[in-house]
Amino acid sequence: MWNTNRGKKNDQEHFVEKTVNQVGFPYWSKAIKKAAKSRTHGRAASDSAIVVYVPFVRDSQNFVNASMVIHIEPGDTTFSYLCDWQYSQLANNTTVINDTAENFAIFFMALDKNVFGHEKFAIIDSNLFKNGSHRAYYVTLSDPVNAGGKNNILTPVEVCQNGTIYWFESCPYEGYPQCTPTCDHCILCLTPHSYSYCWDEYIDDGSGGGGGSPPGGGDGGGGGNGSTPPECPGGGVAARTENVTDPCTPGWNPDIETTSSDFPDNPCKVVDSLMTTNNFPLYCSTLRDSLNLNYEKAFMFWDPFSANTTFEEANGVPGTLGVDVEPSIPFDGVVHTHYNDSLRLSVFSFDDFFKLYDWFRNGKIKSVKTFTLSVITDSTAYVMMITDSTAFVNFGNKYLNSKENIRIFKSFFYDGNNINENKSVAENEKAFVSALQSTNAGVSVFRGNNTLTQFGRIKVNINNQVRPFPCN
Amino acid sequence: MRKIFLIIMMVHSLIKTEGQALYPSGSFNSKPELDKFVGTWKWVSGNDTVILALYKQAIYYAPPLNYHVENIVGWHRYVKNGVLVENSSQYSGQSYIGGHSTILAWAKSATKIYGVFEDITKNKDCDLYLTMVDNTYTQMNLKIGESRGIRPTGFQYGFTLPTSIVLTKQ
Repeated sequence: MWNTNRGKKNDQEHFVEKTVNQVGFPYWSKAIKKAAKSRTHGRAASDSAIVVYVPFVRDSQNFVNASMVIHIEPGDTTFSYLCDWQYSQLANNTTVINDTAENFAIFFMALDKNVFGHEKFAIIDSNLFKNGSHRAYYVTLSDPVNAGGKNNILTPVEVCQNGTIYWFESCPYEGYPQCTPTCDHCILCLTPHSYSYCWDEYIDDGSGGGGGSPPGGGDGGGGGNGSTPPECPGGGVAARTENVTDPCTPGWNPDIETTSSDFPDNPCKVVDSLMTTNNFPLYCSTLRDSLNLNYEKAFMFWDPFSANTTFEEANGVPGTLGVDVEPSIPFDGVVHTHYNDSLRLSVFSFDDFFKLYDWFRNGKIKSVKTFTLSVITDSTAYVMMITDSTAFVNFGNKYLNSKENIRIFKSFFYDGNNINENKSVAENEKAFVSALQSTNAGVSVFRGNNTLTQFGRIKVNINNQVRPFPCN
Repeated sequence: MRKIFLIIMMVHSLIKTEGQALYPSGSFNSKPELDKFVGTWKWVSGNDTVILALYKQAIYYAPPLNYHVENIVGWHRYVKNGVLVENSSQYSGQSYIGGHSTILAWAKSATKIYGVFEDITKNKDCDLYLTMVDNTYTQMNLKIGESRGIRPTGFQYGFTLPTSIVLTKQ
């Protein structure tokens, strides 16, 4: 790609500096290569033609803003650029989710995923991925980008990407607490729609070293002059919505606060992922070391899978077997202790469990799918997760919907299951899990090992034995 | 030999049910051990008075549990320095559901019950322990403590009533 002629040309035109200033630096090791299809401008198709997409990232940013498109055919190599803002110049029917603008957006998201691992993207431009009255909230990329190996750019590969679009939707249940007064952005108020985006058949890098087209076809507003990326014309943002104020930015943002761990296939992955974070195991071990204090301790946390995770510590009143856990904003979980005391329970107390429902009902749970409530004692550790929201709502409506019913359920919890401070760890554990199962609470329980390095889901089987309960 | 085997099987069966829900669906579970707690109980200290009115009632546990268990349902009245502080006794004896009771308790042993006591002033449920002083069953200890667990929103620590007193059956 670089030869003496280009070097001389750069001396005259300084296109390297211009390119760096405009779109940053190339990530050659993250380039995606694919077999070129036959749509070329006035040239015969070649079976050996390939297209290489080289992502460009600005120095201070952590997302791909442009891609050099290198079209390689025997005897001829040309290149052009695609920039993320160009999506706004492409066809975008707001009743279709796979026209050229969306394909273009997914293409850049796939590059982001390949370079930075971003898998979730907040949709800023409300016309993108819009389907009639359903506005997209965010898009997740579920399948790995078929890049032929991130460091192997020698093998031509297909470029396809499965995406899931999350639309705002009506509330899942009548009277669902988090929908009051209006449906907010909670996960339960969104409807996912999966779609497979493949743009290989449309790949067209332009001809003659300029005028390349983005995936999805069309003119795309130009692909630069072959030496430097196209300059954003600026001006209005008529093709976009009021949400996009800068015409030279994309209509989506990588959601760097979360990763795929936010939307795992199963709750076991959430817990496993927590154990791979820096903080969660630290919360557990710190709390295990605090059990000789005469008060309960708790760590509330936010964004546990992000480098920007935060936490808040809470201490109970000495001599009382409880702690105030009142996050000012929705949170992602809490770990708390049952300190060494003659009345302490080896499992969650009824009030612990009820608090989970209380947070759920009052919108304090940031994401039901990833929220965890944990307890650490001197001999046990458990994590609780809501794994069936519908069942949990139905359960609450039945057993926790009035002061009287709450007390009845409390008596069921302690008396009907014989959970108390004098029972063995095994007895209380079985009784606790059994209590949740027998009432279809929609909650899963995970037991921690002695060293607090691993938690595994458990259940009581039909033979009344506590057994591992993998998530499949 | 066969009898021994049957006894072993019965014992095994009892052990096996440990940890399971104790009451089968559709069952009615009498609790005669609660009878000794039923009645009116009074504590007096100077101008301070606590009166408990305790009843035994069958509580229904909704499906899929679907069974009845007898519990102690109660109401209380507290006068401090001659001034009425808390009172639910006007509802005494009403059915649990809709009956504004401030006590729900269940057997912890033959002479001890454990349950919920509502501190009306602080708008919270406390842990309640009532323990017979002796086998005459004419006096019992009342102990009130904070409920175990993560606190409800707006939780107020402390108690309105005295937390450790001995009541006498009336």
